[in-house]
Order: sequence, then C-alpha cells, then structure tokens
Amino acid sequence: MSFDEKVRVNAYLVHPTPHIEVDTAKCRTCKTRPCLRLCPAGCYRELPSGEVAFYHDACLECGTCRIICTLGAVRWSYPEAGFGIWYRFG
Amino acid sequence: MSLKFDIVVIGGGPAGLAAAYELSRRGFKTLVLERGRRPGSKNLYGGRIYMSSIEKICPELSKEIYKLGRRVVREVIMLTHGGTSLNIEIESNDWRGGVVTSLTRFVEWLAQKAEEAGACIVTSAKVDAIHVHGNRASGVRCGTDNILADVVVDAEGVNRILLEKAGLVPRLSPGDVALGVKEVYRVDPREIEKIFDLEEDTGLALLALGEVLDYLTGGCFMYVDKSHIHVGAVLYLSNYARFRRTFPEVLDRLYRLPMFRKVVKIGERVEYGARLLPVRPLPRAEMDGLVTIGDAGGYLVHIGPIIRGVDYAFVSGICAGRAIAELLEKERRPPSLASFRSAFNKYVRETSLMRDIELFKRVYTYYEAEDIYSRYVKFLVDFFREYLEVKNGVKSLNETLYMSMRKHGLSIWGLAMEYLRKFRKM
Ligand SMILES: Cc1cc2nc3c(=O)[nH]c(=O)nc-3n(C[C@H](O)[C@H](O)[C@H](O)COP(=O)(O)OP(=O)(O)OC[C@H]3O[C@@H](n4cnc5c(N)ncnc54)[C@H](O)[C@@H]3O)c2cc1C
Repeated sequence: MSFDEKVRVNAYLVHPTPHIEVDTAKCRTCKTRPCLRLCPAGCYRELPSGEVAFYHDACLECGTCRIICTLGAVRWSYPEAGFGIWYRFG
Repeated sequence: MSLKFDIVVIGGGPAGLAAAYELSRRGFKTLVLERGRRPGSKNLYGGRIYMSSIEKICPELSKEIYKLGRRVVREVIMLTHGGTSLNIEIESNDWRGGVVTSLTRFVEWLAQKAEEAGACIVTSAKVDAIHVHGNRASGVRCGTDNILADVVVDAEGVNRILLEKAGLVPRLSPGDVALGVKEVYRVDPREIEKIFDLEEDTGLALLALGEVLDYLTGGCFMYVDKSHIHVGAVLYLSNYARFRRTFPEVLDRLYRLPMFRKVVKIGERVEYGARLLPVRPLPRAEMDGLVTIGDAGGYLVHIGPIIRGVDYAFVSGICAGRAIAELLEKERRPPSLASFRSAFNKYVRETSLMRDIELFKRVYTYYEAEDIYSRYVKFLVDFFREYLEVKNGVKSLNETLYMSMRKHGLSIWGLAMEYLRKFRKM
C-alpha cells in the first residue's frame, strides 16, 4: 500500500498554511534524504527534477523529520490550534 | 487578555489530565490547555495500560479503566527469522498484564473525570511559550492570552517544544527515541473472541522481533481490544540510517504472518498513525513554579518489551497534583522546587515509578544492542527449527545446539562472557 492509501482512512482538519517549513534548497546537497523513507505519512517526496518537495496535508505530527534532518532544513511546529490530524482511536 | 489560575496545565494527555483531576478535586482553580480540537484527538500509543501502579494510587478510578477495554490474559513474544516464527506464549487467568484500550477513549474518559471534579479544559488552545521571570515560571502565553498561575504544569509529551524553546532541556536527538507507526482495525467483538479464543472481557498482547523489522532494534506489536485491534511497528531511530524500507512496506509485510493476516481478513482498517516514543531516560527540567510530568518529565520507562508510558504519565500527574495541593494548602504561597520535590517523592514512593526509572537508567543501553534483534533471534529460531523438524534422521539436542550456535557465531564461552558483561544487569 502506498503512503496515500495508508492515510486515506484518517480524519484531518487541514489548515491551508503549512505548519512545517522546509528549506528545500538545503535538501539539494543532502545525499541520504532519510525523510523520504522515514516520514510515516510520506510528506516528503522526490520530484522528477530531483528536488525534495514537502506536503503538509497528511502529516501525523510525530516530529521525526525535526530530529533526523541533519542539515537544519526543517522548521517544525505543531499545526494551528484545533487543526491537523484527528485521532479517533489513537 | 490576562487570566489568573492556581494551576495551568499544558497538554490534555494522560499526564496533564490526571494532574488536573487531582488538583480540581482538592478545590484548586485548574486550567488545562490542549491544542487538539477534542481531548484524545492528538494522543496515540501502542495499546496497553499497565494497572498495578494506578490501582495502588487511585483505586477509585482503576475499576472504571478496566471497563474501557480488555484485560490482558495472554502475552506472546514472537521471534521471526527466515519465514519461521518461534512463539513464546504465556497465559493465565490472573495474569496482571493491564488493559488493552484505545488511548483516545482513555483520554476522553479522563477528561470527563477531570471536568466533573471541576477542572476547566480548553481545547483548540495551543500554548506558545512558558513565561519565566527571574528563576520562576509565572504562567504561559497562548495566542493573544497571557495566563498567570502559581504553578505551571508541563505535560506537552515527548516533543518538548516549549521546554526546548525555554532552553530548559537539550534538543531531542535520534538516539533518544523510537518511531512507532500503527494501524487500527475495527472488528466485531464476537469474531475477535472466536478467532483469538478470548472471553468477553479478556484480551491479548503480542510482540514480534527479528525479521519483521529487518533485524533492526525495535519490533512489531498487536494488541487485541474490545472491538478494535491495534497493530504497529517501532523502530529505534538510533539506527535509522540502516532502515531501507518505508513504514507502509513494513506493515504490509507483517500482514503476511498468519497471526497478523487474520486481523486484516476479519477487520476494517480505520486509522493510521505515528508518534515518537522515548527509549532512553530523558533529562528532567524543573524550576520554581514549573513542574514537568508524563513523557515531558521523563517519566516513561521502556525496558525491553515493557513500555510503561501511560500508567506512569498518570501516576506522575496524580502525584504532582497531590504534592502541589499539599504545599498550596500548607504554605499558602507558590511552592519552591525543593519543597515540591520532597512532597512529590513522598507520594510517588507508594508506586514503583522511581525504582523503575533507576533500573531504566542502568540498562537501557543493553537493549539498544542489535545482537538481540538479529543474532540471538536467528539462533533461537534456527535451533528450534532444526531440532523439532523431521527432515531426515532425528538429531540430538547437543549436536543441534552446537551447529546452530556455530552458524550464528555464538559459543558457550562467548555467551558466558556476554552474560557477565550485559545480561546479568538486564
Ligand atoms: C508506538 C508507541 C507505542 C506505545 N505503547 C504504549 C503502551 O502500550 N503502553 C503505554 O503505557 N505507553 C505506550 N506508549 C507511550 C505513551 O504513548 C506515552 O507515554 C503517553 O502517551 C504519555 O502521556 P503524556 O500525557 O505525557 O503525553 P501525550 O500523550 O503526548 O500528551 C501530550 C498532550 O499535550 C498536547 N500538547 C502538546 N503541546 C502542546 C501545546 N503547545 N499546547 C497545548 N497542548 C499541547 C498534545 O496535543 C497532547 O494531547 C507508546 C508510545 C508509542 C509512540
């Protein structure tokens, strides 16, 4: 199953502005790009151009990207109050 | 706007709500600020709450907690290698394995208890900063509101954004945590009871190591709840660089194992979530006027297959509540850190929390060793397979043991040394 299929069953209240800012210029120099594999929601994608793109809609707010990015490209925060993932079972 | 409360609690998870419950019961004006839209909407865990400490410290609530889910009467440890699994199963009707329940359900219930006791819980309220004046915390900032309080209780969870921002704790590093990713399946309770051979109120907990996680440090789990089954994988981020898959791949491969395949077959997938989990004891931040509890206070104990997160979050919340209440009643002014610590220690001593944390500090490094998840798992599975399977002639126990050890580079002498160095301490 793809990331998209996995998160499809979830409830979200997506805020229009991303709560995480990624300085993708820094990603250009990153050889390992662990975020692509480790973000459990697949928010980090490699574009055909080779650039990294970040999409916040499916974010599970776990904080993994905040600590594994060694280049300091991730400016992390929780979504605006009341927004983001809505766990119904947890 | 400026508001004044006796106590302000950051985060309405198990820890924050337990503190609010205790403080409100004692008549203190307590405000809980929770960023989620409803209590429980941001909380996620594996699936089981251990009960022994909760029973000791809050007997009045523990009976209700049992009603929220299934009592664990069976535990399974599954060692997986080469498509084979070696299962160690223990079952007993008076097994003290805690309760399997949904964390959202537990938090909703606890929020209701705290509200009934008089706590003011505000949801959709994200705290932006802790106010510190001199050497004392004096309140919090939440959007355009400033909230003053005699005591600030930080229960923000494992991502200690506010404590990091205040410079009170070091940045979280990959080695401190594991990433847990899980799915919830909805299943008809009668079907659950039939398939897993359980009663109406009994459940089971299962952990799998080895091949299921590419022999990396961590493992997979399954918890059987009332009408839901929780399935997931936990990877220590200390070895993230060697993780070559994605979590959807790990889960989907897990479902090929017979035990897990059943779940997918009879259940409907209803949720996919993730959260970090401390695997090392996190340093604690406290100061006059600031108390930290739950994951934020480093009160989680993770020793091998045993995770005591929610019960110790609850216990640290209740004990912090008792200590603060006692001091505010006695001294009639905001308590100092030293007086808080001694009162907290008095209450927490009724439980095993502090002793468990000491043990955790001594042994956590041994559980990070990859050998446990690769070499030893492979050896045990191979040994039992070689010994029990009849392919041709029957093999002697000794010969099989010797062959399997050699195959995985183990020796009696090496094991003895390893025992002296590590296992003895575990
Ligand atoms: C995969 C996995 C499996 C686990 N399995 C188990 C298990 O089986 N048994 C067990 O006992 N424990 C388990 N744990 C651990 C358990 O989840 C935690 O120990 C427990 O949830 C800690 O409770 P807490 O109240 O300290 O923090 P949390 O549950 O994280 O609650 C913190 C709350 O604070 C809120 N918050 C955060 N920042 C702000 C802010 N700035 N403003 C307002 N609100 C804020 C959050 O929205 C959240 O509701 C597991 C953890 C993981 C990741």
